[in-house]
Amino acid sequence: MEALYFPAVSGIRAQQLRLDTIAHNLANLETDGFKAVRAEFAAIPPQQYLIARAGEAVLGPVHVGAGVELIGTTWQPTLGPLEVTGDPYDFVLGGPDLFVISQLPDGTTAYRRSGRLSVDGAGRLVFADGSLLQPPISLPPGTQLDHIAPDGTVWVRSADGTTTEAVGQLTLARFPNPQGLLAAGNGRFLATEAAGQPEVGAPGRGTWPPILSGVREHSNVDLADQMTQLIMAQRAYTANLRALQTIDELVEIATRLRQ
Amino acid sequence: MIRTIYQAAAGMMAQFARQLTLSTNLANIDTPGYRQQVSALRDFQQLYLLRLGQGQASPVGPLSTAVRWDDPRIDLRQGALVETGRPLDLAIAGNAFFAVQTPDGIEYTRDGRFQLDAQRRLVTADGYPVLGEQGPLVVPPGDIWVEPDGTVLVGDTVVGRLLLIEFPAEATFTAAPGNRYRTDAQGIPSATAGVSQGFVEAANVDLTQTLTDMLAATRSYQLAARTLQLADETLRLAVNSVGRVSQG
Repeated sequence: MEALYFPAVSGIRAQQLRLDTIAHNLANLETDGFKAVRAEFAAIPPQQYLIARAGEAVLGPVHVGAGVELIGTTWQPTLGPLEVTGDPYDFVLGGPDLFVISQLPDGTTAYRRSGRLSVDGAGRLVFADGSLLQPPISLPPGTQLDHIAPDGTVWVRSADGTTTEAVGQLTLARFPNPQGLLAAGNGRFLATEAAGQPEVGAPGRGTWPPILSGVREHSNVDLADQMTQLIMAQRAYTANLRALQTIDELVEIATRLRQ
Repeated sequence: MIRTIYQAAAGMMAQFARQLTLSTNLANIDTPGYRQQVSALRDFQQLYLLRLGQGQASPVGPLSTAVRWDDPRIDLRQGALVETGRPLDLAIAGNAFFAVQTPDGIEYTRDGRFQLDAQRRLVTADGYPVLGEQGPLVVPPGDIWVEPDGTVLVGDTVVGRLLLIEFPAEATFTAAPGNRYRTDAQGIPSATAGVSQGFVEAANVDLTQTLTDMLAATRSYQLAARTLQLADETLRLAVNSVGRVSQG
């Protein structure tokens, strides 16, 4: 009995999930470094039904489609719009599969796309959530960050502004399948088996794109695209609801056959 | 009379199955690469009626006692190409399929939402390698570019060429998980199909047509149900009223 309603119900559920991802994207329209999320659906292969047999009339075995299922979510692997801020603490990684490495307070390694740095009380470079940049880079007392060179070298300026000095170099990680990373909130990603072994390298060398310093990457959510998706999801939701009502109508007719 | 009841019941079952197919198509209206299923109704085995009388049988003609709902066919018409801007979203314009290596053998798909796996192979959304002309494609780091003829490049280096397979018109397909299809037909590499990078092919489900068919199927179902009730009513009269002795 439930199998009769399932295709339509799965369609309604799918559109609901799609609406959820659109809402998530719209909520992050202004989140720096955010990547638009897409819900991925696949058709459930048809099931073999021995539909019915009534005297001479036989129907089946036939293959009737079984609806749709969510197979995962993926994010749009393209750079968002860039804004030149001139702030040396802002930087952008040159490719969507690149990450900077950070260490969370509990010791786990997290990877992040967002390049907004700050300095903690001990002069160490940290991210907005307080996790440490890996490998660690500290600013000597009395200096401040001057800029980050395209090859990732961190330059500091002395307090009187006369001399600059290199204090370290950023290291990047690259995953074969960044879509396989586990998004852990606060811009953190955690390594998984599906993402593969990270490859570590310095920016600006070989196949590693250079770092853009003094630039901020905005969310790559496209408002017009999301609004179009929203309208389409609503229409598809309604159509599937209609299908459910229709199936229910047929069941109603069948149950009233014997008056 | 009993025959009419069975006939009407068969009609109801067939229309119900059609309705399920239609609602499956609607459920997949946003599934990239989905091919809509088209159902067909046809006569069930025919009987040959004979009139018996005066010691001989004279033919009356054929009679079909039921309607049969066939396994749905897969409609291979092209779906709309929708731009996504993702470098690993590939769509085919033309008649071909991507070939995918699965544990159950080679399967074919029009769903080009690909990604790289942990070994940097080009894989489907559920992780099975997409075949190039020389087997799975291993893509080194860098910007990926896919030529319209299916050649995959990273920078200026050719990684391989996607295997695009075309099938003869009479080939039949059965659906497999992950928007893929299996077939026994022999395909040949396509010379005409083109690949568009940064696009997915939308499902080829026609919303208006599907909702219209749904209305038609509902009415046919109602009609068959009504026929069944009428046959039942006629039988009731035959059983209860004909030949009743007046209790006067």
